[in-house]
Amino acid sequence: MNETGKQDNPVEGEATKPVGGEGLVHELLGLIRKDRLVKLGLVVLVLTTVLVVFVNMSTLPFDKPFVGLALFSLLPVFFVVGAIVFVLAILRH
Amino acid sequence: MRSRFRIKKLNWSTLIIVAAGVIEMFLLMLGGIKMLEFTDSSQFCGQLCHTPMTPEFKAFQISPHSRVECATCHVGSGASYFMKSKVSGIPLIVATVFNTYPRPIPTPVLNLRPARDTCEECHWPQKFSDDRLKTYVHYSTDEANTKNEFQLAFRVGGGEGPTANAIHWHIASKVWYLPLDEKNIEIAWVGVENTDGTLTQYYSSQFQDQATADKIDAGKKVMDCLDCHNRATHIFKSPDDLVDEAIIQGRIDGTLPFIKKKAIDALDVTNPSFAVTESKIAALDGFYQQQYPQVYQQKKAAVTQAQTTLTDLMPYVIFPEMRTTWQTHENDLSHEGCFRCHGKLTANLKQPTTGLITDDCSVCHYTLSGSPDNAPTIPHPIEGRANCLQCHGASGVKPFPSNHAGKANSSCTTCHLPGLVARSVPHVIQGNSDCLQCHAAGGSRAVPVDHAGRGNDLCTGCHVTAASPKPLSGTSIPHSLQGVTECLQCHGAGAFVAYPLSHAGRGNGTCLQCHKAGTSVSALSGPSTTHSLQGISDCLPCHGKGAFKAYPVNHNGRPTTSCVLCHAARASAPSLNGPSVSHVTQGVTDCMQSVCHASGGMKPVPTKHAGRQNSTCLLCHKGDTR
Repeated sequence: MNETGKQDNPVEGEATKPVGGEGLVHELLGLIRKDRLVKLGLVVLVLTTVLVVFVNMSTLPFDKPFVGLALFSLLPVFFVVGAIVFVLAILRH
Repeated sequence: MRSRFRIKKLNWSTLIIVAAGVIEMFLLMLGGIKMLEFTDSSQFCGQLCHTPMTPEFKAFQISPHSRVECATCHVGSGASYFMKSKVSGIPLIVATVFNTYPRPIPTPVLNLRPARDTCEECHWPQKFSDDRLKTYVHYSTDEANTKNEFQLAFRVGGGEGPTANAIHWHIASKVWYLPLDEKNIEIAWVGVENTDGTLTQYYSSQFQDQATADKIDAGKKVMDCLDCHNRATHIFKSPDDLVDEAIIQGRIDGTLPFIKKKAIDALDVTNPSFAVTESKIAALDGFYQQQYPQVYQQKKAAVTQAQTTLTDLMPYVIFPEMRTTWQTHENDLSHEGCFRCHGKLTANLKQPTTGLITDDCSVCHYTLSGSPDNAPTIPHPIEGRANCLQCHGASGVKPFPSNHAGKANSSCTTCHLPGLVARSVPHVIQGNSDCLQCHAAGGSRAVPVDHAGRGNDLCTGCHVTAASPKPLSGTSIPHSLQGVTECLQCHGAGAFVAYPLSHAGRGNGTCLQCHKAGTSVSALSGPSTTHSLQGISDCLPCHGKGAFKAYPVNHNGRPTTSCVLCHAARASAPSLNGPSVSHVTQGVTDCMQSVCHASGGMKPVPTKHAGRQNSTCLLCHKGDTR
């Protein structure tokens, strides 16, 4: 942060960013728009959330074991994909 | 001074991504817990591994433990057993996927948790139970589906220490045994730890060589719940039991004729597929339509209901893909289970009958009312007949079935109760030892169908002589029996000296049982005929009632066939021939017309022909038939 209270801008030509929560949201949205890895990670996160909520709230996996097998088989897939995506994203940033 | 390790300044982007990753991990952990719960569920075991587990899952669903998850008994609690079960399950998954699993699934399950860690989580063996009453209801396969009900009380017992008794004493105490096979069927040795610290040992006479101290130490097991309750959950019920239950519950109408028989025929375990079973079930319609059309009209809905119920029961009986039936796996909660040791092992090998582990049925159960459906009632008085084995032992006149081997006299009346006593014999038996002459199948007093195959030696075992037996005798025969074999020719129903109505149906062979020829009776003969019998087939035109040479009154009603029984032709008797008729006889029927041969006619007959009828003329006088 410089004397005027504004953040130093490491990237030339970039407009000055607002600070605080609003800035966080802007940064997050910018991150998602620009970075494919982050997009993919978000998709994985959303899908994992939906899956986990569904298997915990619904009895379908137990009533139809083959459906349950298919759903629960996605967990290790999300784990592996998510691990790769998030690690790469962290390393990039 | 710069640090050797350059630490990049964390920016919000990275923090956000890391946070997202942590959330992702947390969610995956939650999902993983749910997944483990899913793999431990009965649906996963029984429905996912559908084909190999079908028989076990179906039996489980209608068992007392159907609300207990498979993993509760087959896996148990704790991380180590969890890991063991998952690791040991991998080959099973491979076998399922590649269809290499055995058919049927072999038993016992070798890596099952000990009963004391599974069963005893809920059931505590020290609990004392009083006698448990069980009512058995069974329907017969007759037309009326006759119901048979009997009540058996089981001495369940239990308890602790020296007060433990009855059946559950086996668990309350420490009873060791040495099995010789995986299924614990052949037992070579049993050791009971007494309360005073001593060990009472029992040995099998058959396998005593294999009950050495080393083998006992290496292979002995302590009795637990599963040694008797090996089918605590996967209980395969017979079609007989399932249909009985359905009738009791009203799911099958027990008033439909032969429904029990038709139902168990349809659920025959030898049916190669469900399609065959379904076709047999569908055939019930045709059976009732043809055999009982009125019943079918009135109870069509009941027939349809029965078909629906049988279709529902079908998957619990027939497992063609797994080559399994209800008889495939042993159920040790049965006499076969008990008699692995009871009645077999003895504490005294030199005198095996002493020191035998008791096989007295009343030690474990006793009958309250009725008798088992398959245990016939005793058809004879039992007073004074305490030694059942004298007649019903292996070498007796009516030996018991092979599965009764080793049972003592004292156990007979546990299942076999006195029933209707057989009818007493109303006649004197002395001199009438061949009962079957009158009482064989088809005889005049045939025995019931269930007596088929029984010999004379068994009759008096049940049928005792009445208090005042009548002599088995009838009127004396007034004639000699020489040459006479067919009594019924003269004395049969409708014959001229017919027997009484009470003799109806009796054959020639039975006559002499009662009727003896009197002393000094004459032969069955009368005067010889004065003429040859050649060409004579009917005696009655000349000798019948009212004929010109009628027989005596006491011959009334006798058929012409009986004449020759007594009247033989005299040797060299002339033939019954007279002068030939000199004219054509065709069209002439009335020889005795007054103008011809009547008295006063042109050519009257001789006086000795007086009284003869037209029908007798041609017997002697052969005419010109031109």
